Amino acid sequence: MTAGETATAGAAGPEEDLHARTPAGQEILRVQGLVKHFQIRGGFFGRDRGAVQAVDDISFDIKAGETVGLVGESGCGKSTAGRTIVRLLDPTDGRILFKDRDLSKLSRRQLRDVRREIQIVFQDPYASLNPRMAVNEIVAEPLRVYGRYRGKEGGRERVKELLRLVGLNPEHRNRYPHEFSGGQRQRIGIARALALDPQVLILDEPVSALDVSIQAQVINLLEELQDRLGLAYLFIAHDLSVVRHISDRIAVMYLGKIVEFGTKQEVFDRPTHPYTQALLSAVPITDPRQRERSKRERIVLEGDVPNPANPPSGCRFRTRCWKAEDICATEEPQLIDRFNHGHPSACHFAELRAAAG
Amino acid sequence: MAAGQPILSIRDLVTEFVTPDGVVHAVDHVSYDVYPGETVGVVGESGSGKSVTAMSVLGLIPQPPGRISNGEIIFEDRDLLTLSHKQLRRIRGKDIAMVFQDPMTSLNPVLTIGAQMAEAVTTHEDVSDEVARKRCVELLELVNVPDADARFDQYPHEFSGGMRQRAMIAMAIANQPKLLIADEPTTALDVTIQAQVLEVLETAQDETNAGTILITHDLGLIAEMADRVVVMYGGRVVETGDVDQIFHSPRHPYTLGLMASLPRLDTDLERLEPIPGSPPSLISLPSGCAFHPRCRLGAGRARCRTDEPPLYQLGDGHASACHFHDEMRLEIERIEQTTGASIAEEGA
Repeated sequence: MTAGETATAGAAGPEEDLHARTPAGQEILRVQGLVKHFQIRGGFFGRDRGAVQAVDDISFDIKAGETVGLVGESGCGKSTAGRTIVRLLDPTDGRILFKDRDLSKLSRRQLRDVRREIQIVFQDPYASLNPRMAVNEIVAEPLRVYGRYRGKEGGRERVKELLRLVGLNPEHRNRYPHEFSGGQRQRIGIARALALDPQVLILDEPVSALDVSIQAQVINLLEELQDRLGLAYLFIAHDLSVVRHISDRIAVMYLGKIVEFGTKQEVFDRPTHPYTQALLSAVPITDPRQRERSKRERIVLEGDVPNPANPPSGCRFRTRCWKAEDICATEEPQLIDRFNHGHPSACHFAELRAAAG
Repeated sequence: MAAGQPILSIRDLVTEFVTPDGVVHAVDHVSYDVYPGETVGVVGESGSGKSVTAMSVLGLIPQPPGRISNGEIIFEDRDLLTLSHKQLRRIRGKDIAMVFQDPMTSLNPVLTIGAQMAEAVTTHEDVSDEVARKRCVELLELVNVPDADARFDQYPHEFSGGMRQRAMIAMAIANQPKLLIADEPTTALDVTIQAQVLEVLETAQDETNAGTILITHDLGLIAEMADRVVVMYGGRVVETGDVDQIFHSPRHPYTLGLMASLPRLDTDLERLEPIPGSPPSLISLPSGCAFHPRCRLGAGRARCRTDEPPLYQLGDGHASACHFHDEMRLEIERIEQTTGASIAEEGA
């Protein structure tokens, strides 16, 4: 990358262009070949001991007004991907394009302007809100940072409006996070993320810490906000039922790779990657009358997820896969559309299997 | 399943904690039975009292600040609440075994898995180290720990999370318990690992024919594992019945509310219908029915605010603590229309 490229990437296009609302259905964010490795250093001389390959060459796009679900088990790299996209982590390689502007190449200063448009909501509303700040201050902070907390309208009234937007009583704005329940705290986190009127929200396990009845409240809120504000969501979660409910398209991750990608109907009703098939079959169905069938069709994988610092050669899933053959160890399967569904999967032996439901 | 005498009978149990903010009524007059060979699923959200009930059975309530101020816990004709610590220790880990959520905190990190398993055996039975080792290795094989003989000499940190939980289950069934208490046994695990652990849990139940209390917040797990279900809210039992009754003809609005809140894996719902508001404070429970401030069915009727509903018996072992349980059919229809879920469907 040359200095010239950096400059054009940062300064390209007039201000209106960057902050203009992208019409629904049009691509707003594109991730290309994103890689995030964490170096492991150790030993007496602090030598390089290799790298944890948390995210390894993933690509996808999100359209305005759409929800893309990023799903996988712990350690698959889904949260690292989310954090790298908002550049809380610096990518090792790859491009993150917001309206053709490559975030991966921008300096901290140049990023500032784009960050307004891409905000993140974290899993744990207990850890992500400063306990010493009143709610009013928490929600006002992004406005202050961007010099927009001005006057009655831009300041106090805007905070009240945001609190109302997420279903909180604006009269409670002088209270502290500990005075709120888990669900209300997550609403505060959402209000803060919305303060600068972004177009993209990265939602990192936003409902995982909540009880079922409260979880549904927050899911409905996120859906309402999306309809009202035309937001694009990257919804990162391990709960497949929640992901099915909220997403339009879904990417399934395993050990740093996307193994299958498609509309929710495609991925849930016609999964072709053995990992997706095993994952879906492992979830208990909330209907006792389907118990026997659900157990009969269950694929119980052997063993555990391998160490991402030393992933298997070829296909990373092959060590747990019942279909694995020699080619799986030597040749990495590409994420390609194997059945002309418009629904790619990364398996040499991808095939349709009737899904439960 | 439910035949003969219950192996465990919890009667009118009250467990409280004294805190600077007031008395927390964690378990408020709870009763339920467990029969040999059956799995009783206890479901509820955080603070519903489901775990504290189980801790009371095990005699693991720290006193103070806790106190069990009422009730009986009958296990094999003896009231566990009247036993001394020494007598309880003889039962715990032998006739009553437990599996907790986080195997890392319930295993001792400085002892090998094998030493801890063997201790569970030799504490209750006078056998040689060799016999104990042999039995433990067999148990590890039963729970699908590969290379069990070598694994016996490893430390907990050398096991993965799923393997640790399987070892915990092996340890729990080492003495052929009559009652197994599993408190959120798979909550900390990924779903593919959960599938492994559930398979092992079922093997363990088949091996021992133990009655099982499965405590969980996960309705999917209940639907898959439980024979009978106890639904708890605010420290009280609000509904109990067999698993099909609970999922297909719930007679308490809270049970239905949980189901209407739940996204489904097998079908697309039009929308979720959450329960409004938040769970109650156990220090100052709402008057009358504890669920009334969040209840759409009650809709502010005076009786819900003033009279605490008893557990109305509806026949076939189904019971509901709702004054208006006979209005639930209409409420189910309404929820089916708003969410697109089919709850009262006939047949499988």
